[in-house]
Amino acid sequence: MSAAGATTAHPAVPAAPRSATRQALAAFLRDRMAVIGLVVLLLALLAAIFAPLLSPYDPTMGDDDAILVPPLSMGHLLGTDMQGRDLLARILFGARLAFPEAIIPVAVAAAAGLVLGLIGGFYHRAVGEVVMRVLDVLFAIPMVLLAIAIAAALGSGLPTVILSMAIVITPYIARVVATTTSQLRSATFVEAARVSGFGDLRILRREILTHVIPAVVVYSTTNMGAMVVFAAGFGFLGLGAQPPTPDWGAMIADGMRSLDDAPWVSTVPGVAIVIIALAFNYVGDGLRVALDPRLRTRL
Amino acid sequence: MLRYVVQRIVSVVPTLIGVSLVTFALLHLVPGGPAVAMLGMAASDPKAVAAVTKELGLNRPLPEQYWIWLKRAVSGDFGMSTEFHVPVSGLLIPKLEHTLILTAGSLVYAVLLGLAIGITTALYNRSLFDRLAMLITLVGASAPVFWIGLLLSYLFAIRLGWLPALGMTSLVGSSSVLVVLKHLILPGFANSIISLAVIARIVRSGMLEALVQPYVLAARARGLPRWRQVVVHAFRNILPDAINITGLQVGFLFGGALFVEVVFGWPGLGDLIYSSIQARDYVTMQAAVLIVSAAFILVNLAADLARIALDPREV
Repeated sequence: MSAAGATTAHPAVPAAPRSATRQALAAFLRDRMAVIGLVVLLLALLAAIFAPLLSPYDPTMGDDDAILVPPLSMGHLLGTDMQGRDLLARILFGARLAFPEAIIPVAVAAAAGLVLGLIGGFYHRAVGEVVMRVLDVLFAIPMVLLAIAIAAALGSGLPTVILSMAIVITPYIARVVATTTSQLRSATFVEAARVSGFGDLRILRREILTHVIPAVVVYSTTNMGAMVVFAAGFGFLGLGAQPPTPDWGAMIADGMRSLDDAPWVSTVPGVAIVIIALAFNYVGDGLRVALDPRLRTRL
Repeated sequence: MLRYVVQRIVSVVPTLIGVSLVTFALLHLVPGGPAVAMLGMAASDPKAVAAVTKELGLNRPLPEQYWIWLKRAVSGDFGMSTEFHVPVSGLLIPKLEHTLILTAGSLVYAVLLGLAIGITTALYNRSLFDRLAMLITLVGASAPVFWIGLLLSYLFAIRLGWLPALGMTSLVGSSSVLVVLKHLILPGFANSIISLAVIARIVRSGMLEALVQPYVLAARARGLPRWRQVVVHAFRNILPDAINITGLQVGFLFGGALFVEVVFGWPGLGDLIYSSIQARDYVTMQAAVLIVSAAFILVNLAADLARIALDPREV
């Protein structure tokens, strides 16, 4: 946590940041919870990357002599599950799934949502209308149900989960983009660009995209915590990575069977999910304030 | 106004058609195609495959297949469940009822507790209670509902033995209202946590703004009791926002119910979907998506029309 102390010391510096980026950075660093969240995420990411070095146990191999060992026992800090597998090892290796499961779908959906939202918001004629109607349809189907159905139809596994999450998040990002784009369409600087004789593509790229991207970044990061939880839901239903691969959601489901005498088997992965989701939520909040000058001044 | 109402009702049609197209496409995603999806285990029998192919026109062009499928779906024929060997429609409706009961139960929790926490924390802003409540709601909102359900069921059902964790059976026949309510306490609360946090936060920030408005000060100056200042003058002004955000939560609560059901053995749609996943019962899954989505579209329509009736200015 020394890194957190070092970074939160920044606001004390009487900085006179000139560029918008530096102002945003300073605003972000002033938010103590956001900085702590970022540090937690970075540590967790490092732990995930170096899991094979950090973990003394194989996450998939059980030890018949160490079944359902409670947490804080010698050799098993977080205890073991019904098959005698070390929970700390499984949490560490599980983080290797949790991060991509949260980040990749959002990244894919952000790209797709950006294209669809720009078209839907910018062109109020046929093409834009069609895009907006298609989005309406996707909104009408409950998100969780659609995602489960797609994942189930495609067959379980990590790529399937990522794809079905991306599909159901896309309309939400597209809506954010379309709303912003539609408002900007009649802005003075867009009119000016149009009068100057610039084509649609250039206006979209130079005038509109610069305003839309921060909105997408903020929307994506503020929802990243929810994505960690969402992804755990797939694992819980048995749609994610298949056993014995350690998936946090699947680990919770696993622990259900021994809930009576070994509640920690379900509790431990849940705590991991909450910590990562909370960290993402705080970082997202900090980023939202940092990237929106109007919110920044209100603090 | 009449024109808007008609427009709104007509706008449902393309959405319904779109949803039916998406649902139709679901079976085509299944490796091996719709015939395998429809037959399950029996797909190894070429005769059965041929029969289904003929019946559903699977060798015809896609638009024609869609038309055949749509005609059957509209008449309530969603096919046979490959797992339970009964018509899917008969299987789904009672399950859907149970899920709606759970959704409604968690909605009650979310609204009552969300309002109570939101208003109290705004009144005692920056107090220990405020900070604690906001921290707890934030943590709760970052946890999977099914995990919270498991923790609650361990604590209150297994350890303390106060409430039943499992054992909710079919509503039809045996169970009395009281029994259902008793079974609803834990899963309803577990499922409500995220929405509860959202409502509490919106109400809190709305109340914080409303409480310092001149009209509340005026009420105070007139010597009105504190509860009247809070409830009648401040809260009344944030009520539209509160209703709006609550409406948005219904869909989330429904989605959460699907997971919570698995933990508590609640015999609803989530439970059915869970066993359908295990059994690769795609037909049931497809029908569930179609029926629930159609229900949501109609509920949204009804809510919109009710809103117009209550506040014609909105049009």
